[in-house]
Amino acid sequence: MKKSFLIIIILIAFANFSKGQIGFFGKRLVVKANAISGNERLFSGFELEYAVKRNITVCFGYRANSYESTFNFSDFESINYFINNVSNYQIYNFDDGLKFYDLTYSLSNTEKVESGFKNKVQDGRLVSNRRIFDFSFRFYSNSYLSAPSGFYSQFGLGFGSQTYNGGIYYPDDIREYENTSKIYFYNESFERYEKKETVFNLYFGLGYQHIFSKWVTLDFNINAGAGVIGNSNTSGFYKSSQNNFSIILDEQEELLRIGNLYGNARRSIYLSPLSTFYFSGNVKLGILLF
Amino acid sequence: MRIIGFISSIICVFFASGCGINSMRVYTMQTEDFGANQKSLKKVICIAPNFKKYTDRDMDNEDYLSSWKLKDKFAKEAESWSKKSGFNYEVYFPSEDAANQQAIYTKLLPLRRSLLMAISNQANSLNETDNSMFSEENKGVFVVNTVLPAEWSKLSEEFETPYFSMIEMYANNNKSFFIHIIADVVKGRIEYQEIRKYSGLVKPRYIEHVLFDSFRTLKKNLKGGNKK
Repeated sequence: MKKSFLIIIILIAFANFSKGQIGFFGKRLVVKANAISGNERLFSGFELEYAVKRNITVCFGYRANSYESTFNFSDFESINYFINNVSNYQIYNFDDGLKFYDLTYSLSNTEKVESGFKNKVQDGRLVSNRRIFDFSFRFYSNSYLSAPSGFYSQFGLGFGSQTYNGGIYYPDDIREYENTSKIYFYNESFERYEKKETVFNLYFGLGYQHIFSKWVTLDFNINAGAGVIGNSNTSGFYKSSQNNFSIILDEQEELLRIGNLYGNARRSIYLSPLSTFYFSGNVKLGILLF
Repeated sequence: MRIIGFISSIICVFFASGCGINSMRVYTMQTEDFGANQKSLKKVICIAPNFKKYTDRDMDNEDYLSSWKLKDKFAKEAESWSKKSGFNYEVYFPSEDAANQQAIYTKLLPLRRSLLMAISNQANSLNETDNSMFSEENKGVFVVNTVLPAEWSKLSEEFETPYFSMIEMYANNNKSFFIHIIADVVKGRIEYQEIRKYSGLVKPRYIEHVLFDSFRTLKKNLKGGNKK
């Protein structure tokens, strides 16, 4: 690790030997907005790029995004879904899962209950807000054109935080099945969850930036990165109950549900599911200022 | 840890492509008192800016035709970028105007030829530029000045300036060279000489960038005076 950083520093020092005027017709600063960036929202972040050498620029970026992940009891249409999507967490009892599956399956066959579900929209909902600061170097490989235009390779790091807010809603209707099942009986209730994580990632990318009519820039790039997320367990959730919530869930069952929501939220944050390695493509629209 | 080493080595290869392989070199040389007469340098007569591009001289003649077509554009861009940079370059090149033709064929083109000869005579070991790769720019000072023939000094009265310049671009295979020379015919010597070496063949849309860079460098060198 130390060696690789040393090599990078040496290369930056060597890059001094490309000479001449800095900037595209003397203009060095580009302000950009993320037009398309992975699965992030449109124009959800911005970036400043400044040419420090003829071939080197420094970028500062900020991205703020929110993702929503939902969970319906009726999603459990088959036992295979249940096993494939939830078994990763290994925090549920298989017998309980089967019963849960039976219950929801029978519920979805009842018209009355279906309408009840539709009104409530979602049974579980988790919104994750992510704020990331970016810092990166770009190395352009052009002979005739100066730094903010042309093909480049990029090396950067991102750091920030992501917070999860949400809860699980337990519908009243399930009461009707009090006698048919020995599992759980609910009052109408809502349980709220909160969680905060710190994020740190390193990434490497390749790209091309084109400048139209000397002031409008369009920037395409592809990044591959490795990330570290602090406190990435479902047990890190802070729970605060609301309303007349009566105890129903044992610990495992609770973790199962929030775990599923958390998994979905994490999947939407990274394009590859729950992986510390990720790929993303970006298109940025910008203005070459001065 | 092996994975980190592997990834970082790949990254370093790409960094290298950004740092050195496609870089551009600038070599400038000037007289010791160049920059003392900034005001008088504002009017410069530029003799027939030339643009030559060929991939293989023996095989492909059409490159001369295409570069001949680009020559007009090159001349116009040179004039406009000199004015944008605060200089006043009057560009003379062969055209249909009779007076212009006379000036060019009887006076300016022979002068251009003697300028070219003067450059080739400057290959003196004392006249080397600083070739350090860590310096900002390869700069040098003429220790040995080549003397131009005295007969050209009369042109300074006719054109109302002692400064005559030559801007040329040559492209061959994978390299392109840009030359920018300013001569003082009254003192009879080359005042300023800039050579740029680019990797990769020049394209018409790069001409603007090359000229912009060149005039910016000239301006910087004038301000910097005779500092090495």
